[in-house]
Amino acid sequence: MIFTRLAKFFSILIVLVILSLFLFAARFVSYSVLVETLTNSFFLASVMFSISTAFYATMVSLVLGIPVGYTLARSKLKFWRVIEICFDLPLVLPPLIIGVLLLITLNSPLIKNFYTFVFTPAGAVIAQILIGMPLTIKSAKTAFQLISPIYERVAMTLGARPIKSFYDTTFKMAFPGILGGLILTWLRCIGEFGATLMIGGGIPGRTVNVPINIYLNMSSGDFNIGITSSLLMVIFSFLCIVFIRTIIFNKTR
Amino acid sequence: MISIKIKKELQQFSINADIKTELNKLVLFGPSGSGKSTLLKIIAGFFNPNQGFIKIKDKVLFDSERKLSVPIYKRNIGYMAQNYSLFPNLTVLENIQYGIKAQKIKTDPLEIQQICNKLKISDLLNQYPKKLSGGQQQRVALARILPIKPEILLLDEPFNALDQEIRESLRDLVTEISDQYQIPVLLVTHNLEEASIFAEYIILISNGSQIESGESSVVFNCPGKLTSAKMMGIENLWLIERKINSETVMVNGMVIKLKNEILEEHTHLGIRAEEVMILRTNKPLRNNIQENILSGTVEEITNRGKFKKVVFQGINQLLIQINIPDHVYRKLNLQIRNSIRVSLKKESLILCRST
Repeated sequence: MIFTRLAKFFSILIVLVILSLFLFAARFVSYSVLVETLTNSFFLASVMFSISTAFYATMVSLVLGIPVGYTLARSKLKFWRVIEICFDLPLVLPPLIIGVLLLITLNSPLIKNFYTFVFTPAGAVIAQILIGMPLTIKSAKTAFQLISPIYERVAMTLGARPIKSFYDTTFKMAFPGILGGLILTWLRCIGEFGATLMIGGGIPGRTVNVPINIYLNMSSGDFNIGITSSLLMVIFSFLCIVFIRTIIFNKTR
Repeated sequence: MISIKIKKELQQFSINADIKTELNKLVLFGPSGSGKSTLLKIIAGFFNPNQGFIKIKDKVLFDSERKLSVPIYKRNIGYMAQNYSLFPNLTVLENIQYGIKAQKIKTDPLEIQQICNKLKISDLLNQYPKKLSGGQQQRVALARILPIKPEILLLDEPFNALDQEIRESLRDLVTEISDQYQIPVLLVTHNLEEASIFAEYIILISNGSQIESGESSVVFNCPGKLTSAKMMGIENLWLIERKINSETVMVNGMVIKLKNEILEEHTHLGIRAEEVMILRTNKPLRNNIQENILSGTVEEITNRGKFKKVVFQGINQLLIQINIPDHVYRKLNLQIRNSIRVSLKKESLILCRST
């Protein structure tokens, strides 16, 4: 089949390009640079900031995104189709734009008098929720759609109450897909740049995550740390994706 | 004792049913898309009807007047679908134990073992459903229902995807279980043969509405309505032209004598294609079959596997479908355009009404 041959050719080409990107950058990294990066207090602070804000944003996505994903998968009402478009928007819009709009909203007196989100970690979390949650919703929706509602009903006929029957059947069966979505959300939030910079303000040591830190390093001429951090992000993301693939393929019997 | 009277408005049609019987083996029969499965789901409690009541063994599950609707998990109903019924993330044993664990019923392990032995699945207990064949899966599905001692078994075309042989053995198994545990069974099917073998009581459904119901021997042999006669596979149905007296009618100019008395409401006369007798031309007529004889020609012969379908046209232009077994066909040596005589025996004739 000609498509298979073409696909093979292009795939090898793409892998080679990615590999060369990695290798060209790796020329700048030596043991001493690696140590310098790993002990740099701003780098460490940015890692902690990335991990923690992404964690909170993912937790909120879990609580809100799973029920929304379930409803989108099961409901036939037109209302939910419209809502779904709204959830797709953050996926296609540049995060910077979401950041700008969010900045204006959070700066409005109505919210400002209640709590100051702008230039705080909490603000960064809100930005990341908007950017990351659609991934949880989409994955949960797809995962739930693959599970026939008949299982839940059969579990109920056998005497399980609605919540138990949902948990035992649909939720457990959809879980690998949902978990995959949550990890994607978390990764997306860790790597979030535009909106987080807009709301968080990029205050060094306070509201700087890994990508913002890389940007600050590169623009101030600290290329070694910038490049090393970038490569570490690549390796970390790669391992996470390997993890998602293995759990999803192993859990779906 | 099953007593159901419900009405449910749907987008395409409304579902109407009125069932009342003491019999244990019920069949909901009708063409695909006639609302049989929906009716079953209403009984299971997946949807509520707009009005009416559902009562099984003195237990009221739904009553619109009393605003009562017992939730699914309290109905104690065994529901089995065509597929997708076993939980794929649980082993066979976990599947079987699901009901008793969910309801926290204390069950003797011996009882589960007996059920597994009976259903011949004892060797499969540690397998996951994906590894099982279709027949094995449905046996496990049955085994999962039995420990909760259901008030009724609702079977939604459960044997459709299976091979003939497995299908028959499973149907016998369901019959056996129903008799042994005294559980009423409501089987949904669009297969006439399956319905006729299994049913003690049959409910005919078309476009959501119940057309006729009753003891299966009665409904099969003398369906009261034209639609039910068609559904019961009666191929020869003719409009009665004139009623001559209480036991004689005229169809297409032919005088036909009946065994039963004809009533005002009767509009059609019918006979099963298997019941039409072809008379051999070379033999003299015998007295006992000298009933309603019509001469004509063979118009068409088609092979239907186990039998031949012959289309006969009488001299009065009446078309008659005749099914004859292969050995009879060979003996008769029928050819198209042959002149033959057929007999419509009195006791085979069925009277029905158009509405």
